Amino acid sequence: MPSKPSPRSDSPAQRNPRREGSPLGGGGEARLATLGNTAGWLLAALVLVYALSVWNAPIDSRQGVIQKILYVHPPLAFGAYLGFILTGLAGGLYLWTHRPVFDRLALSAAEVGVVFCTLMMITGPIWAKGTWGKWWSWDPRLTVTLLLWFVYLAYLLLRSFSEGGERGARFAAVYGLFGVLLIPLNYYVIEIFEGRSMHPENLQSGSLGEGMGLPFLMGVVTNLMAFLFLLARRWEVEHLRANAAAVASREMVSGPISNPEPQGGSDP
Amino acid sequence: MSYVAACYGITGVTLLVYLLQLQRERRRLRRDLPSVGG
Repeated sequence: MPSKPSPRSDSPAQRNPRREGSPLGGGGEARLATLGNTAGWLLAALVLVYALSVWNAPIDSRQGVIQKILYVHPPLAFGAYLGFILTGLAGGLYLWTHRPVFDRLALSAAEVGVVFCTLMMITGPIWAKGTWGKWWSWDPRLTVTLLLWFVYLAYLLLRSFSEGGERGARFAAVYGLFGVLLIPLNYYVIEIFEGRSMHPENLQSGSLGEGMGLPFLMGVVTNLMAFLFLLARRWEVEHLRANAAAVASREMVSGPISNPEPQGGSDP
Repeated sequence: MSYVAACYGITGVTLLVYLLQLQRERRRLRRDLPSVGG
């Protein structure tokens, strides 16, 4: 769910509303909207091809039709990884440049990443129930994934309940940078435990059967495009909220603005 | 087959609902700030 707005008491928007009040400027937000629209149309086409490729995919000789969950479960994981990596990167860029646009990207990427991670944690147990006969086990991969989910859920709760401002954004950025360390642990935990894990090993080149490569590729591409589309929309919403907060703060200082001045900004 | 349908169904519906919420929020903010984004 989109998180609540976070008004900042000492944000750059209040200190310099012309520069940072409309963080992207009118042109920047329009570019995000255009990017989102383009991604949306491309995504619609990809979903169609994805659905057809999954429908026509061969049935696995060992697991049967339930094996087709392969074409959605790992791609959701990749989307979650991408979201959390972007959260760390954007947080790092914020610490370096102090530009709020990166803080907003970090928050947006974390939220979309949590959505993908939640879906991964729903589809995984469904697959487990159908294959192993039970919903959950304290398997290393599953346990670290649960930890990863809690860490980023906590990130969103932290952002939601903080008062905003640069201090909160810096803390969140550092938190996001440390959270990224869980991702390689999550990916390689099966190798670390030398196969003593119920969860299947990571896919290697050639490990998919004949005819399974295309639907898997379509799953990865479609889910990543869905991630980017949702990220563009979420980031745009965050920028619009920041703009609204900046306008509200200017009105508090100078009175209602009947014709807000066009905003310029150097952010992308 | 029901397990497969559940996975794809839950994924599709969840992402669609999330998208619709974002679109609604985006429209509300743009309506309240007509000068933003042209």
